[in-house]
This record gives sequence, structure tokens and C-alpha cells, in this order.
Amino acid sequence: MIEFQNVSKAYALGSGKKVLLDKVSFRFEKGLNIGILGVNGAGKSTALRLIAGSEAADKGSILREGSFSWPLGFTAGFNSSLSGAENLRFICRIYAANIPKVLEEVADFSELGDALYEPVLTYSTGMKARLAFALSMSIQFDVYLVDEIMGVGDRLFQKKCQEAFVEKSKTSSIIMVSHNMTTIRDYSDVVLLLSDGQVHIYDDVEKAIAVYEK
Amino acid sequence: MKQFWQAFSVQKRVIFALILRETRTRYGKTRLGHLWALFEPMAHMLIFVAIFSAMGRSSPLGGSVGLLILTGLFPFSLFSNLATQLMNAVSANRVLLSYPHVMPFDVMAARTILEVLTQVTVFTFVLFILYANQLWDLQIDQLLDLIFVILIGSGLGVGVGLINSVLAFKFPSYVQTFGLIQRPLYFMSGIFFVVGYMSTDIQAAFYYNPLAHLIEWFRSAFYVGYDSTFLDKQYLLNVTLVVLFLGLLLQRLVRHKIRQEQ
Repeated sequence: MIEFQNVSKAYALGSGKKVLLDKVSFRFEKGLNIGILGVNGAGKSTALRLIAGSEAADKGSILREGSFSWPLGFTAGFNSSLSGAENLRFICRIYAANIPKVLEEVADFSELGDALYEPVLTYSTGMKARLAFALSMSIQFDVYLVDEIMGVGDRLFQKKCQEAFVEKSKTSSIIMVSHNMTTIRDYSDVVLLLSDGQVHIYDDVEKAIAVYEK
Repeated sequence: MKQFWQAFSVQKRVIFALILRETRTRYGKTRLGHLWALFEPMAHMLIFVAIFSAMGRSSPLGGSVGLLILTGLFPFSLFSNLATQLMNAVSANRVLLSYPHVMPFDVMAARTILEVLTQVTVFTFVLFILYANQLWDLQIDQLLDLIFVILIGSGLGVGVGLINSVLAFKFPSYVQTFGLIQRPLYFMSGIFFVVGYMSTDIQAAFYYNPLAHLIEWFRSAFYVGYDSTFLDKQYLLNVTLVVLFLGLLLQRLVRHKIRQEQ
């Protein structure tokens, strides 16, 4: 469950303030997959970070029930001088996940092989994203927060990610930000459209996409 | 109450994970790296101890000159390392703050624990090196008082570190400025001499430096038969409390901003 109660969020810019959310309230029950749409700069990623708790609202309160992932993006918070495995251990520790089990799963899923034990700074963008994705899939959450992560790596890996996602969505729910309408269609039950500091909720995904594309 | 314990156990986990990570990033990956972590501050102390011993200077407090330097250098570096480490804690761990569990407070708590443990270990180790060379007779006047002074020094370092971290966040050039402020303090806090034995004029000039009181208190607790005439415990305690309070207050004011700045 996630609930926003009169949540406001603004960023200070060089000239004045940019309001991203203006007294926004909504509530979604457990088990619903939510797609977040909005033009660039509408505050999609910020909304996701607020849901995750990586950022605090200026005003209002955010209530959560269940465990929420960190916002999964192209680059997770990796320390580049540490190896992939060491970064993995850190994340397992903060989420109380079983390190050997996660390590095995990530090694298997990410296909990084020995590179897993090399410093992250030697990784390509694709390798980093593969590690990030594999890692987030190996730790169990009730809700996965995804920021444009689909479309990582080559076709084969993309297919693998999609399969993993479908598998996940059976037991957990997904809240995702994407510009890719196909992804939104595939995974969302509900769409949250952000514009001018307000949210509009659409139970009909097609309708939301039509409004968004107008 | 249940929520509180849950939050507490998450925080404990996060701080522990951060400490392990910090030892890794700071001291490298090899086992030798962990040794180096202790060796580096130790070398700093040992070099000064060796130079002053070689110069044949005698200690006004009796015993070896090495012991004099060590009992000044330790409280000073405890303070100064904490103040610097906390100043840089958030900027050095920025990527981690995107994990909702990790708060700026946790990053600073982890660094505090690690720094105090490192400094105390190094101090103890050097003490025993002095003992092995007959430069220390294993005597400590008041151990409990000594531990209390270590806590005060840590408190002062953490307080200044908390303030520093906010200043460094608001004014990035402050990091260098603090380095500059620290240098004269190194020579004006009584590491290499005993403030309590200086003339009243000089003592008056040193009075407002809390570090001079910290070192004097440390030595009064350490040396049998030394009671500083300069030491004003109440002043040091007041400064420490004010600095801690101010540091926590400033942190609270910027806590949301500090997290979201990319």
C-alpha cells in the first residue's frame, strides 16, 4: 500500500522555484502495478524517489505498507573503486539479504563472470546496468520501483529481464516510470499521469496513453 | 514501539554495513591494507616521538619526551580527524544516499565509530611501543577520567564535524578553509609543550582554545602527580555541549536538502 496525503514538493532553481507536486493525494492498495507517465521534467523520477523514501516531501505525509525497493535505475549507488561483489555485499547487508544466495543468483543472472570481482570502474554502462538489474531482482521486495530500466543491454538480456519481471509481478507489485508505451501497457494496471504539479489517475491504461500523447 | 525497534534494527544494520564498506574503500582490499590503516596514523605519532626523543629534549612532566608528545598528539588527532572525516562524510558517500535506508546521520555515525576505534587502537599500540622501549612505566593516574576525556574529545570532534559538514555543503570552499584553520591549531594547542607550565600571559592567550584544555585534561588524567593550573573543565564541557547542540541543529535544518542534492 502507498498513500500520499497532501504531498507537496518543489525544487529551488536559480530563478525561483519549480513546483513538481502541489498538494497531491492518492492511495493505492497492495498488488497493483502502477505506471507513471509525464513529460520530461514533470517530476516522475522525483515522485518515484518520494515513494521510495530516498527523498522527503516538503509538506504532507507519505505512508507505506510492505517493503519497497530503492529506485532501480540505470546506475545504482555503486562505489566504483569496489568490485561488483563488494557493492553487492553492502546492499545485501542494508536489506538483510542472504549474501551467498544473492551472489549466486546475481552471478547467474548478470552473466558478468569474473568481472564481478573487478572494480566497478572497469565496467561498461551495460555491465553496470546488468549488475544493478540482477541485484534488484535477487532481493525480495513487496514493491519494486523502476525508473526506465527496461531496455538494458542486448536483446537477449532484455528478454531475460522481461521474463524475470513477469515472474516478479506474480508475487510483488511494480511501480515504474517509462517513456516506452509498450512497457507501460505490458506492466501497468493503473496509470498515474503527472502534469503541472497535479496527478491524474487512470484505470484505463489506453486512455491514459491517449491523453499523454495528445 | 514495534516500529521504533524495527527502525533501530535497520539503522544498526546500515551503520554496520557502512563501517565495513568504509574500511574497504579507505584502506584497500588486502589484509595488509587493514594493517596500513593503523600503521599510517601510528607512523605519524612515532615519527614525532622519535624526533623529539632524538633531540634529547626532556619532558617537563617527567618521563620520556615521547610520552609527552603522544599524550598531546592523541587527543588532538582524535578531534581533528573526526572533524575532517565528518565534514566529508556525506560528499564521499553521496551515491549511497539514494538507498532509502541510508541517512546522512548513518554515514556520519559509521565514520565516528570507525575513527574513534582507530585512534584509540593506535594510541594504545604506540603506548606499548613506548613501554617496550622503557619510555613508559605502565602507569596511568586515573583511567576512568582518561576515558571520560576521550569521550569529551570525541564529542567535540563530532560537534565540529557536524557543523563542518553543513558548512561544506553550503560553501564547498570551506573544506580547504578548515584545513587552513587547523594548521595553526596544531601548534597552539599544547601538543609539543605543556600549557600549564607557561607564563600567565601565554596561558591567557591559550584560554579560549578548547583543544588546549582537552590536552591539559588528558595529561592531568594520565600523569601521576600532574594537575594543570590552566585547565578549566567547565569551559571545555560547555564548548563541547554548545558545539554538539549547534551541529545537530544545523544538521536537522538541512537534512532534507543534503539528501536530495545530486
